[in-house]
Order: sequence, then C-alpha cells, then structure tokens
Amino acid sequence: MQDNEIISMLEDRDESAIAQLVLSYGRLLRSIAENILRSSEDAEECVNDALLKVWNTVPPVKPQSLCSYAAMVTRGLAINRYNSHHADKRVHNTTPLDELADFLTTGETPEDSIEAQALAEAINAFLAKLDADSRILFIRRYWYCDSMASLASRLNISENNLNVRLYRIRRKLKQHLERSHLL
Amino acid sequence: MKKDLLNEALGFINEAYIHEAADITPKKRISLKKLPMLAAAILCLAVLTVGVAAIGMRYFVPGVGILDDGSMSVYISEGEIKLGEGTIDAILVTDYGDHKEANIWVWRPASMGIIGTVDGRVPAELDNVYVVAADGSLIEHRGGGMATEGFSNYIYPDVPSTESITIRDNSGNEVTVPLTDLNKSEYAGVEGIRIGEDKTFAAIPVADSANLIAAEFYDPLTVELASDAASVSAHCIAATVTETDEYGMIAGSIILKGVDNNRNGSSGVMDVGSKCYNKGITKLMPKSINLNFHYDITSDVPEVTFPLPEVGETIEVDLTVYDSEYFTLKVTSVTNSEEGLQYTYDIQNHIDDPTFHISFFDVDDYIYGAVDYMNGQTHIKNDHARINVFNMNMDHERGTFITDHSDPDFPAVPIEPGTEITISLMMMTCEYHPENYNYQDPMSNLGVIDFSK
Repeated sequence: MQDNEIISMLEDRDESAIAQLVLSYGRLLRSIAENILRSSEDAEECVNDALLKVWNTVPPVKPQSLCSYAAMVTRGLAINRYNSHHADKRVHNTTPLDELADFLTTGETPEDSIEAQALAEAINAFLAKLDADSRILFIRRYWYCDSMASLASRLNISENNLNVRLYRIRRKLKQHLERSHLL
Repeated sequence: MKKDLLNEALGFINEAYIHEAADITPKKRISLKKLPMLAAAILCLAVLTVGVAAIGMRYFVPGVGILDDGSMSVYISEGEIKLGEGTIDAILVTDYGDHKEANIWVWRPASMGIIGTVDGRVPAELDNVYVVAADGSLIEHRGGGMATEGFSNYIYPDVPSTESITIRDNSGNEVTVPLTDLNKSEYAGVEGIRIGEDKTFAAIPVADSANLIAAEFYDPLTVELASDAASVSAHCIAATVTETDEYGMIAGSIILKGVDNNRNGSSGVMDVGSKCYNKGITKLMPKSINLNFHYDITSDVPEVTFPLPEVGETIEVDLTVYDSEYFTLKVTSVTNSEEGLQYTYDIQNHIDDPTFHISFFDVDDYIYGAVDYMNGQTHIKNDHARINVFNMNMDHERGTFITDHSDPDFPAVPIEPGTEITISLMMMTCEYHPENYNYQDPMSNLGVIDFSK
C-alpha cells in the first residue's frame, strides 16, 4: 500500500491504517528501536509507542514520507527511552552517536552558543554534498544507529573497510563544521 | 561535542536522506574506489604448539587483572552481599600505596533488557551504590562499565579502608562488608595457565558464584603493542566444561561467550571474556585469542611524494610510509586508474611471530598548494595549504584530478599529471593471534582451568 493511502486511512481514523503501517514499515521501525535500545522487549514497546504517536499526530501532520516520519518518531522515542534507562550515567555504553560526538569534540567548541537547528542545517548541507553512498552510510550509522557488524554485512564490505569510510566521512564533517564555525 | 546537541540536530535531518537510507540492499552497496590491497603473504596464520605449565607467583584479580605477587595489596569480599533488595556480587579494594580503589560488581540484567529472574537469581535493581566515607559522607563512583549479560562494575577511586567497606543504596539501606586479604582468601594463588612463552590465560569464578567467570590474558608483546594503539579489541573463544566422561575426558564442551572489548591501550592486561554468565561451569579451556590493535596515526610518520602518473599509467616507486621495530611498510607502485589512485605495498614484518600482522591500513594522499577563497564571510588564504585528494571526483575528460572538496565555497583544485602528490599513513589495524588452538580436537587443548578444585 502506498504512503498516501495509509495517510488517508489515518486521516479517516481508520484503525487498519496501523496494521498497514506495521506491514509496510514495522520491520524497519523495529530495527531502529533495537539498534538503539539493544533489547527486543524494549524495542517492541518503543515501536508500539511510535505507532500510537503516529496515530495521534497524523493528522494534523501530513508527512511527505510516512516511512521517514515513522522512523523519526521511533528514533526519538527510542533515544528518550535509552537516555531514561541510562540517566545515572554509570554505565559506559558506546553508541554510534557517542562515536560521532566524541570525534567532533574539540578543545575550543563554542557549542554552548550553537543551536541544534543551525547544526542540523550544516549537517544537512554537508550531506547534500556527499555522494549518495557516503550519505547512506552516514545516515545508517548515525541516524539508524546500525552496528558496525550489521552495516558491514548489509553493505557486503569488511568492518575495517567500513571503519575507514566512516572515519573519512567524520573527518570531512568535522572540516565542514569547522569551516562553518560550528566547531 | 555534546551528544544531546548532536542528537537534537540529527532530529532535523532532511527526511529525504532518511528515506534514501531506509532500505539498503546490495544494489546500493558501497564500492571503495581506492582500497589498498594487502599482500597475501602476510595472512599466514601459524598454529603455535606450546607447552603448558602452571604459573606461580601470579594471581588473577577480577576487575584488576593478573598481578605479580607483591605488586599491590588486594582485599576482597567473600560471598554475595545483600543491600536492601539488591545483591552485590563482589567488592574488591586495591591498595596502591597512595590510594585505595574499590571495585563493586553488581548484576543488573534489566540494564541489558533482561527482565525477571534468571536461573533463580533475583537481579539487583539498585539505583545507585555509594561508599560511605569515614566522616559519613557518601562517595560516588567515578567510573565503571557494563560487562556482558548485565554485570556492571563501579569504580570508587579513593576509599578509606582495606579492612572493611560500608556501602549504601539510594533508599538508605547500608551494610558494612568485611574485606579479606586476597592472599588469605580462597582465591589466593589462583593459577593461570601458560599458553605460550610469557603468555598467561587466567580465569576464575567471581566471588562464590561459579556462574560468573572473569577471564583475562596477559602477554608482554600485547602490552607493548597496545601502548601505542588508539584502541584494542580482544576476542576470546574458550570452551566451558560442565562434565567429564568416565575416562576423565572432557565432554559437552560449549563455547564461552566471546567478548569484544574496547579498552584503552594503556592497560597492561586485556579483558578477553570477563564477567560472562554461564551456568554450572566447572572447567574452562582457552581455544583462541585474537587481538586487534587500531592505530590512528597522526604524527611520526614520514610524508613521501611521487609524481602523479598519467591516467592508465603505473609507476614504480620505493616509498617507506612506516618504519618501526615491528614492521616496515613501503609503497612500491602507484597506478592512476579510472577508479583513482591505486597503490601496491610491501610489508616487512620484523616480529618473529607470524600471527602478528597488519590486517588493514590506509594512507592519506594530498597536495600542498595555494588556496585563496571566501568561505561565507571568511577569507581563506594559505600559500602552502594541505589539500586532500580523495580521488572521489575524477575528471576523466581532462585526465586530471579534482580535490574532494565538493563544497562550492571551497574551490576545486585541478591537478595535472606530474604534480607532486604527498602521501602519509593515516591509520592501520594490526591483528595478533597469540594462540589459536584446534577447536575440533579436544586433545589439543593445552590447558584447563579447573574451578572445581
């Protein structure tokens, strides 16, 4: 079923829209949640929460891409849930986001004055200039939080190979943010 | 950069990019345009045959590692500790002379998504554990980490005593735990097994639980190699034994969960499977230990140059990009192909151990040239700028390179054949297989750590 058909069902308050959403994107949403939460039970609850949130927000929201919208909702809920579980910061799990944040850390970061929106614009501009392969790689690792092993496997490349690719992308992003005076 | 800020920014990523990456298939698989090819010869992995001997004068301390006798004093709790509704597996205080550091291990499977009772054990759901100082104030943990299967250890860098330790939870439950000198405890003289010259593998059950195994590996070369590495990952496969047959032979071996552990290279001991939860283990046999050293090289490597060949041309060169006591890495030819620059290499391994080899490396290639452009409101001018050449944007019509700076604010720099290209080593990963036992042959097992004694 096409996105616009599911959106129409959501607008008509047709509950079978959720089933269609699960049919179309359930696996993707589940993988996003699992990548972040590393727990199938938590991921399942998170996806259910995300489906409810999609139901509650569409309408009035009319997403251009239902897939992206549902993915963004799932990711946000998963990260909130992850942060909530690790609020005491006594466990030192390293997530893909830590990997990127650490790399972008400099001794002179003026980040207190940086707004997320400005940073997002810079990252979007950076992604626009990247070749598609690199962009997909970046998004899969740092947005979908794919593990190195699973991403290397999906792309049919070695983890070392992947490591180098990501290192170069991170380095280019760092240069881009430095030139944009965001680092 | 703060993770929260980054995360918030990623929340505003263009939906089109998220959609684009939603379904990646081999059709979209990434092709590396420049992958240094490793010489096949370095992939020779020898199976070492070494004798086994019990190690004296060394003992293994969970959370600390293998200690030389007398190097420090260690005090340990004996038995599980109840704190409120929670259970603490072990407390260990190490006296370093100028300070006393405590490690507290707690089993919190919920933090790993494991819900409910596991094998009859009720998990500790402690929100926090404090050490009570001599003046009654609370000492918070300053570090720690999560091990496999929900075991966490918290580190308290300065505790008041080695005779006992008082801990408190969030609800105010408090318990004072007597500590025993390790040399007088049941763990005194725990023997590792020698799995090679100067190489030790050791494992013990933690506290009084035979289900909680800590294992570590020590070897001087590993320590040396790790000292310069940005990160080290260790992977250990071991067999756990729950019973033996009528002849005393090992029966029913299973693989102990292998653990990848990133650890800063400054440590002298590699965790290779610590804190694994397995029911009813009576013996443990190391099967294989693989170590990977990742080096981010930013200095102390030479810059070498060569003239850019014509497209389709290969030139022979003799460029040493890395030279150490461990190995020498040379670029021997450069091809300017449709795909970009391709290098061939020669690696000379100086270590008399064929299980140590470079598994991957990459070089940075760049030119030095003048740049003069505006980046927004900023005037960027440098007569000797380092301009990276990633080979991603080839101009085949002109047969020239264009730099990878696809930023329209950054001018593309055409490079003619003959232009001096500089390269230097950027990163490399080395693999080291100190031992690799034949897993299929139980008779080849060279050492067994017996927990039942």
